[in-house]
This record gives sequence, structure tokens and C-alpha cells, in this order.
Amino acid sequence: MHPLPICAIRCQNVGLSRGSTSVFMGVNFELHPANILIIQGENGSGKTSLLRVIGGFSQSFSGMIQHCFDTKNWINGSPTGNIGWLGHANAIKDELTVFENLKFWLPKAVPKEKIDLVMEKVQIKTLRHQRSYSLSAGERRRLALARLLLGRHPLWILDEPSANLDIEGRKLIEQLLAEHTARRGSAIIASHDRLRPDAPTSYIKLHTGHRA
Amino acid sequence: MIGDFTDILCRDLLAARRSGGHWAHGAVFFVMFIMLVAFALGPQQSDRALIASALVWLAACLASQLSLAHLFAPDLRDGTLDCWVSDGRSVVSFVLGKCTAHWILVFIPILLLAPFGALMLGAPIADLLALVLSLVIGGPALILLGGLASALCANLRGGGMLIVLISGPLLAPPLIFGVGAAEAGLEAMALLKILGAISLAAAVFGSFISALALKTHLE
Amino acid sequence: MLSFFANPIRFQSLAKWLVPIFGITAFGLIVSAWILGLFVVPIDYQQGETFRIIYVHVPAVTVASLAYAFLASASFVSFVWRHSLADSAAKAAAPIGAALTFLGLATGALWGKPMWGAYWVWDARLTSTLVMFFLFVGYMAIRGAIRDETTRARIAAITAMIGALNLPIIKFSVDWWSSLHQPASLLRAGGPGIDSSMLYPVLMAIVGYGCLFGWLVLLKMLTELDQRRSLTLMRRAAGRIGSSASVQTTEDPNA
Repeated sequence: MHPLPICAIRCQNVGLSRGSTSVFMGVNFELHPANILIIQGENGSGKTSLLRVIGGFSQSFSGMIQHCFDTKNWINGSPTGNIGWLGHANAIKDELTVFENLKFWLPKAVPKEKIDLVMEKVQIKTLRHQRSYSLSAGERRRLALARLLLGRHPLWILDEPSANLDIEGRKLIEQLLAEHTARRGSAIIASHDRLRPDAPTSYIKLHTGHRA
Repeated sequence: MIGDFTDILCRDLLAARRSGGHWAHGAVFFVMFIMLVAFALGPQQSDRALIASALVWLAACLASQLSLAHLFAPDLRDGTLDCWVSDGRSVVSFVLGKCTAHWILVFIPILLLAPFGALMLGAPIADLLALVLSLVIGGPALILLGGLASALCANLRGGGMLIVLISGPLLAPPLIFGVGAAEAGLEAMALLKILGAISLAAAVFGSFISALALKTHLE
Repeated sequence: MLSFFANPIRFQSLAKWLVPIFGITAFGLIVSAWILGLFVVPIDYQQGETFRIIYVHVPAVTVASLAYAFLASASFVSFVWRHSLADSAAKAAAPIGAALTFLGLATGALWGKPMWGAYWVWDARLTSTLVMFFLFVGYMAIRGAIRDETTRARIAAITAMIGALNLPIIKFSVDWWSSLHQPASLLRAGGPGIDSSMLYPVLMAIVGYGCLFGWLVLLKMLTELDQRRSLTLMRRAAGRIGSSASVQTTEDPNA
């Protein structure tokens, strides 16, 4: 396995408001290569919104997000283009087969053999020529994981990666995370499941703002 | 940039081939519109011949807008655009790729049907070349400007109604000059040039603003 | 200058001064312009009494165009600097602009009947005013369709700016188009050459309508500021104050 480019990211006092409503505030963390950050919180505490802010989709947050590729020169903003994104939606086109869906996301520099490799990894190789609309929810999630593996992104942002997956699937995610961090990749994960990846892991929790 | 463009173009063409003929919607609408217009105008051939070019242009304009409501919404909903942006790929290429696919799937059949539609409405054969030429030059503007409205209204409640309201004023200039060029014939190069300028402007500004709108929907 | 008043508190104290000034000026100018226009100005020898509708029509159309320019500039400020006051100015301007445009169209049609013998002709001016009306309506409709405040402000701003780019193109197209299909309208021929005794009330009414527009926009913006404040207070009272994050730990807080 080739090592990934190095990418670190940090957030300083990041908060998000939608109009006059505050979604979350006071997010501080620093994430280094080969590390994992797990974001916890109840439903509606703003985990997905936080991931979207970190992923660089939203420009209207407060505070500061910086990233760097050499641990010295911090650059403002999210490392767009270096993020492997796995959201709630799986980014699958129903009309295409499993193979064609993956081929669409294959980076230009990567040979086609990689597609078979990642399909094998997430155990959907037998579904190779099936149209995607016939996949089950768990198989769709596995296909989305395969897409994530195609790229060579140093930072993964995963929103409930184990949604719709069985126990085997959760183990698969832990294994993929261990391999990703072994290649000096890092990951930010919002999850309810107690994922126990074999890598240095830190946590932040979003507390829903209820007044006592 | 170009790789992104061809990726999205090939994917949409492949998906359309498997969609059970969804793309033919526009062509069918075009034919039906012409038939119903002929019925509405009555049997006098001479009246219809005068406005044949205008009617064909109107039919092409409406038919090309038909399935535009669903141009960007599915990719926004199923997370494709999220991954596209975080992969660092160009959203302008995405917009241009989708619009080109729409042009191939919807507008080329209309282009092929347009001369027959005009003939059936009683236009003289001499006028057909100008009509087709004006459609070729003005067509991209219709699709890119309709696409702009579709990008603004992707993800919205009641998107279909809104798209018509937003795209109506945008489509007025290409329609005016398109019909003008078709009716004036081949001598009116100036009109074709204006039409071409509108198409070019739509390609540059339209795709840029569409990309901006799509990114806003991702926020 | 702009950024100085971008602060809601400063804006509010300024607006509280401006609101009565605009209101009283608008009332005074419009009423006196109408009295002058309807009773003092002599009858036009060509058009008879019907020309008096210009004291309602011309200022409505003029201020409606200015209202669109205002909407587009406020949208530009809102889009570039992401300022919520500019967005609420644009939001306030849209329905007032639409109402003025509609008034202009309706009085234009009423005037058109004796002038052209038809309530509506596809004259260049009428047509582009109609398109402007649809731009206002489209702007309001797109605002109504978006729930999220941030997205709403940005998509609405893009829509308004596209309209501002499109309006001159439409004007140009329609000018060309109507010169092809129809003779020049009477309106333009009789336009600028009117007598000064007829003109002054028109100018007064234009300024009056402008003040009316400013008065209504400021009132709506002030109301919205208060509304936002009460909404925030209600949310706080209900305990919905958004999430706060804990510090980064290496221990699973749920373990």
C-alpha cells in the first residue's frame, strides 16, 4: 500500500448559526495524520451540520478551520479535494451497475484493477454486474464504502458509516479504518455505534442545549 | 476539467439509455404540441404557414424545458454532488456535462423533427434551413438558461412551478431572436450572430451561476 | 459608510429617525402632487382629462424600476458580505416593488384604452415592465420555497442578480422585437416634450413615491428585526439554544 499524503486539520471555536438559531458552538479539536476523531451527540445535536462545515460545504460558520500538509504551514479553510466523503446518501446511480458506479468515481491516475480490489474488500464482488437499484440497503452502504476506498484521500469524513450494516459490516469499517490510519490517513466520524478502530482515537461530544 | 465533463456526460447518457426511453419525452411533447396547435388554428393552410417558424420555435422551447426540473435535483439528493465537490472536481464542468447530455438526449431529436413539423404546418421548404440553423445556434441557450433555473430551484418545495416562473424571463431573449432569425431567413446573419452571442453568454455565465447555486444548496 | 450602518443597533437608531421623515414627506408630496395634477394643471388639448392618470402611473413605474435596482444592489451586498440586514432590505423591497409595478401596469392599461384603443399592446415598455413584474414575483416565490434562512438569502440574492443582468437584455430584445412588429408608440412621441406646469407635479409625485417606498421598506425591516429578537428570546425561554461541544478527549465519554 502506498502511503497517503499527510494532512492535518484543526478547528478553533467553530460554531454555526442558521439565521438567528444557533446549531452548535465551541468546537475545538486538532486532528493529526493516523488519528481518528469520533463526534458523538444526540439526534439533532448538529453532528451532520458539523461534518458539512468541516468538509468545506458551508462558508457561513464562525471561528476558524485550518489544515496543513506538512505540520508547519497552516492554511485557512478545509482541505477540499483531499476529503473522502461518506454522507447519509450513498451517491449511487440506480441505473448503473455496481461496477459502473465505481468506475465513475475512479480517479484518473488509478488503474481499473483497483475497482475489483475494492469490491473484494467490501465483499460485493459477486454483485459486480447487478444494477444498483436491486441492491439492499446494506449492500448500497458497502458500495459507498468501496467508492471511498477508490480515492486516495488523506482525510475521511464519515457520517454514520455503519448505518444499515450488520455486525460483520461494522467490523469491516473498523478494519478499513485501521488500514487507513496505517497509511497515515485520518478520519472524522459521526457515529452512534461504538466503533473501536485499532488507531489512536479522540472524541468530542455535542451537548444539545437544554437549560436546566 | 475536461475529464470531469466527459465523465458526467457519459454517465448520464448511459443512465438515460437504461431509463426506458425517458429522454424521448421532449420529442413526444414536441410532436403533440405541433399537432394540437394545428387543430387549434383550424384548417386554413395559409394562416399557419406565416407563423410556422414561430410555432416550431415555441414547441422546441417548451419541449426542451420539460424534463429540466429533474436535471440537478437527483444528484443533489443522492449525495453525488457532495462527493463530487469534496473530491475537488469542477462544478462548472458538472453543469456543462449535464446540460450537454440533456442537449443530446432531448434537443437533437427535436432538431431532427423540426423540419417535418414546420413542413406539416405549411412552411415553404426554402425556410427550413434558416429554421434549423437558428435552432442549432439558439438551442444551447434554451438548455443552459433552463438549467440555470433548474439549479436555482433544485431541492426546493414546488420546484416545477418555480422553474417556469424563473426561466420564463430568461428564455424571452433567445426566443425573440430565435424566431426573428428563423423568419428573416439566411440573409439576416446579424440575428444569428446575436443568437450565438446569447448562447455563448449562457454557456459562460449560466454555467458559472448554476455552479454557484448548486454549491449554495450544499451548504 | 455601509459597514457603519450594517450594525443592527445603529441601523435601528437611524431608521427610527428616518421613518417619520420619509412618511411625512411621502404623504405631503403625493397629496400635493395629486391636488396639483388633478385640479390645477390645465387640460391637455390632445388627450383631454385622461392624461391626468400620469400622476399615478409615471411615478409608479419609475419608482418600481428603482425598487428593482434597490433589490438587486441589496442582494449583491447580501451575497458578497453575507449580511442579514441587506437580505432583509431585499426581502422588504420585493413585495412593494411588485405592488408598484402592478399599479404601473394597471394604470398603464387604463390609460392605453383611450390612447391606443386597447387595454394592452405589446409595446416595448409595457412588455419589459411586465417581465419586471414577473421578476419580482419569481423572487418572492423562490424565497417562499426555501426553509433554511442562509440558503434562502443566497439563492434569492442570486435570483435577483440574474434578473438585474437579464432586464437590460430583455429591454434590448423587446425594443428590437417591437420595432419590427409595431409602429413606435404614441407614448414615446409625447414623452419628454410636455409642458413644465404638467411636469412639476410628476416630479413631486416621483419623489413622494420614492419616500413612500423608503418608508415602507424601513418599517418592514424594523418589524423584522423585532420579530427576530422576539423569536430568539422565545427559543431561549424554551431552552433551545443550540449544541455546545465538549473538549477533545482521548476517552470515550459514553464508555
